[in-house]
Amino acid sequence: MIKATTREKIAGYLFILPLLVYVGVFLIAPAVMSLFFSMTQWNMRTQPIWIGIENYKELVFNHVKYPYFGHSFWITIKYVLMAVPMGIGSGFCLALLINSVKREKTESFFKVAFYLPVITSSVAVAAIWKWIYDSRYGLLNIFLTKLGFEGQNWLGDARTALFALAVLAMWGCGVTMIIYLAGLKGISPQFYEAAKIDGASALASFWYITLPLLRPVTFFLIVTNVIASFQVFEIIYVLYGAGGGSYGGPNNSTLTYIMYLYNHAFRYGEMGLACAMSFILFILILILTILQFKILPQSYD
Amino acid sequence: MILLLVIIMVGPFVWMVSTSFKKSSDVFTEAPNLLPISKNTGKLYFTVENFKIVLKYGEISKAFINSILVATSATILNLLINSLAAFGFARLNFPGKNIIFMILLSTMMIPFYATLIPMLYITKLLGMYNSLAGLVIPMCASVFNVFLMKQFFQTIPQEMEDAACIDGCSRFGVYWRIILPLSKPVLTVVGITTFIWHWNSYTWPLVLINDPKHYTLPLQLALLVSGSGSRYNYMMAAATMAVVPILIVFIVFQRYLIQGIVLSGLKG
Amino acid sequence: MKRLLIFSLVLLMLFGASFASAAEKLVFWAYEPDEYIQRDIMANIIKDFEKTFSDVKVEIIYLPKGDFETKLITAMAVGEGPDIFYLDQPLVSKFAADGVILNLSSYMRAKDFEKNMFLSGPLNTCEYNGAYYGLPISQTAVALIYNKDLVSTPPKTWDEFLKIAKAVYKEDNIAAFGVPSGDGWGAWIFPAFVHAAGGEMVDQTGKKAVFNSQAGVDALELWVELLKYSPRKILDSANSFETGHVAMIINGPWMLDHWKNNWPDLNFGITLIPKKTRYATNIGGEDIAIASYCKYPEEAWNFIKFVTNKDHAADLAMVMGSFPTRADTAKDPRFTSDPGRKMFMEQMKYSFARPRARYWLKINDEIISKALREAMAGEKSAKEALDEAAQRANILLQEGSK
Repeated sequence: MIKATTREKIAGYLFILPLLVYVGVFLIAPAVMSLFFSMTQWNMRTQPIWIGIENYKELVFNHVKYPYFGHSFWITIKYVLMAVPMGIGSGFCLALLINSVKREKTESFFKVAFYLPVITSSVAVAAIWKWIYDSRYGLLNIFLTKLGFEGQNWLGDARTALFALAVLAMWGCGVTMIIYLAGLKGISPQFYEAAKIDGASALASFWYITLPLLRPVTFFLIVTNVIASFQVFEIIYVLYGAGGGSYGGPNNSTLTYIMYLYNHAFRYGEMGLACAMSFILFILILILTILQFKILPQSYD
Repeated sequence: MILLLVIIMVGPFVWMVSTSFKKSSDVFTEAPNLLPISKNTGKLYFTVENFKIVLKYGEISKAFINSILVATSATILNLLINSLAAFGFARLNFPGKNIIFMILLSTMMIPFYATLIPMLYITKLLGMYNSLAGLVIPMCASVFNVFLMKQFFQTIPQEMEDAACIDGCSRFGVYWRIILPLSKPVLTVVGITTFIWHWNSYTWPLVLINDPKHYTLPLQLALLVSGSGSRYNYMMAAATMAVVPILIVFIVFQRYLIQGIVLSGLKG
Repeated sequence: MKRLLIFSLVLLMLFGASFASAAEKLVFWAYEPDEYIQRDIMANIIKDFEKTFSDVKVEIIYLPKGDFETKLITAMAVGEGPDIFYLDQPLVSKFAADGVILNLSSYMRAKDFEKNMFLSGPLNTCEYNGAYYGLPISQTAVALIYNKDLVSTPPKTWDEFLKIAKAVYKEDNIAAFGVPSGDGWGAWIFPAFVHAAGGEMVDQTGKKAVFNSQAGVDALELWVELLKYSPRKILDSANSFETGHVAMIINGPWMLDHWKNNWPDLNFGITLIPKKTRYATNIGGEDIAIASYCKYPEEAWNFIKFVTNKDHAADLAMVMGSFPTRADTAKDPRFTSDPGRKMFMEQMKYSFARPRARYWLKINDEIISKALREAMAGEKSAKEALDEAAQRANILLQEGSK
């Protein structure tokens, strides 16, 4: 490693300065305030009342007031374990598919088609998927019964609801897909040509060139998808929000941590508690991310 | 097989568009129709009534302009600030670099709803409450995208820089003239996703804007949805109109997601 | 001070348009009405008001109903709340307890205010600790809705209810009754049945849960029984009632327009929720309140008095899509001519308000719904489930009243 010169150091700081200013003012300052609020009891109409770590103690130990704290954690973890691999896997496959297409027009068509889920209005998404998952005449059940399986009450049964949501997340993997696509495009064709000259098969060049070169991208996608999945909100909001409910789904099987948090912030008037919950989540995700940084391979050297 | 995949991906979108052409009574059928078919006659038709009503009562035009202003300026700012920072992290060395980066990453993990009100308060302190500036500035950079760009910049071989910079050039020159042009794919991705994110953003505009004159499109449409209650055909007409700009943006810019690096300059 | 703050913020705005005016200005937040034409009705009401009280200007801002509360709360949290606003009934006591809305009792004692014209049910939702903190502008309730093609004579009592349910049930095709699930919605409907069996949710003091009384157990057992003839598989399917697969459901008047627009062929009827010992239903609706930080409380009072007087109350209720809260406007032909609406109004005579406990929503969402779910899934008997729920509810009720 070449020792950084002073000019380089100054340049470095200058380049990241706008970002730092932004983050400091709009991310870190609010976070610190939120930490402060987490130690208060605050219903947002009156002044916050300082109660120290009461919120934290209550969350963990008071099962009458907060019966679903641990439950929502567990639900979220289950969801993350399902949605992240599924989302990244499908994004990758779709990107590979698009990248292998020869004609530019077809390629463009697929790019647009597979990205449409991301920009479709969530109301329309909810409406259509409610139909696909419908217990009586949903598309999925019709398909399954034709194959000889029994149809399920996907969204209404506690055993299947969370999985159904994860599939929906997989369907919406358009962003992951184009990031992978950008990554694939960024691999210089030189590598492949060189491999071909050496007589490597398609599978071999995939395994030894494509995958390793995509490691930075994959690493990025894993880290960010985990963070995003932990905070899943929109899809549960539209699918289970009817009737002014509490977004818990059948037997609270879709009551993720964030939904539970949201309920407390805006429905039960316990904003201080919601801030405490956020802080706990933050610590957890932080630990997880640090672990990922230590364990997962980040680049190809 | 692929056809099935395409249908699944595209289906909801097609339903959204076709419903915007349906009459109310034809919206709900045993199985959603992907085409506007009349329940009575079984024939294909379409009506533009929905669009007319939404345009007349929805007061969309102002919201539309607001959305365009906000999304565009936010995207430009984002691309600028994020790429500068990503370059700094990817290519330059300075003390505390890794620690600062980890701290920045950790800000991605802060759940949004907890910081919503503090952010609102700070925005108000800065005098941007209830203004379009308040929609742009507090969202003018993104650690997510910095991270993404950093990963990409790191894949550009160092030799390219050295080769192009034989006569020496400033760091900013490297950034501006070499790294950026080579990064078209990732810049396209960031540009598109940022634009779309800002275009569809709902919660922040909801709590920030009090004056309907400054409403952005999703907010205006939500008003419509709330008002029409159960008129899916109006809702979908509104949603369809809202999606057209971002669809155009995507279609136009996705072509830059192409094979990036041409190494002809390095041979020999 | 607030006006000065608003004024300076406006100047700082990107498209700085100055709003300097000599008149006093009131900011009024309302729900986006169901039909666009109703915006015009509201605008006319405001114009009339400004004509009568020429030194006041009212600025009305519409918000999506679903996010109204979120927006209101966050705006108030940063000091940017409105002067006058709609308030969902259960929120009034919360806001009153925190002192953010004005105590209107003294205004209401004035001689020219026809307090007794307001129906007692809705008026009571504005009451807290013996004082009134708002005026009711609309009320609504749920009733029993049945498919006339499947059920020719709707049930009046619980016995008839079960009999008809058994008769109309067809496995895999027709579910008898849309039994609410063990979630927030179900927990909201449950009290209607508890009251119908002669019971209450909480006792007089509001500190003790009594929904595990015999009445509560009877109500829950009714649901468990009805569930036998109403497979969830059918109930959870989309639009199962509208497509004729569910014979009877419980729902509110807001569905009337939905069915008129989207399901014109649906042959439905509305009737009172079957009783065990008495007819009962929930009450829902909106009140209108004045913020305590309002600069011009007198003018604000004039406004809400104006909007709810007998000339305008009917318009307002129509705009809200529900029913009037005054005895005189209740006779307005707009409400009495439509048989469906008339039935709902009949049902509203028997409405019971929610307990005004601080943590009631939580008890609703987490404790009662859990009990309902457990009993309906057969995991516990109705009595067991409700007893346990009552125990937990008591802890929260105690804590909430401190």
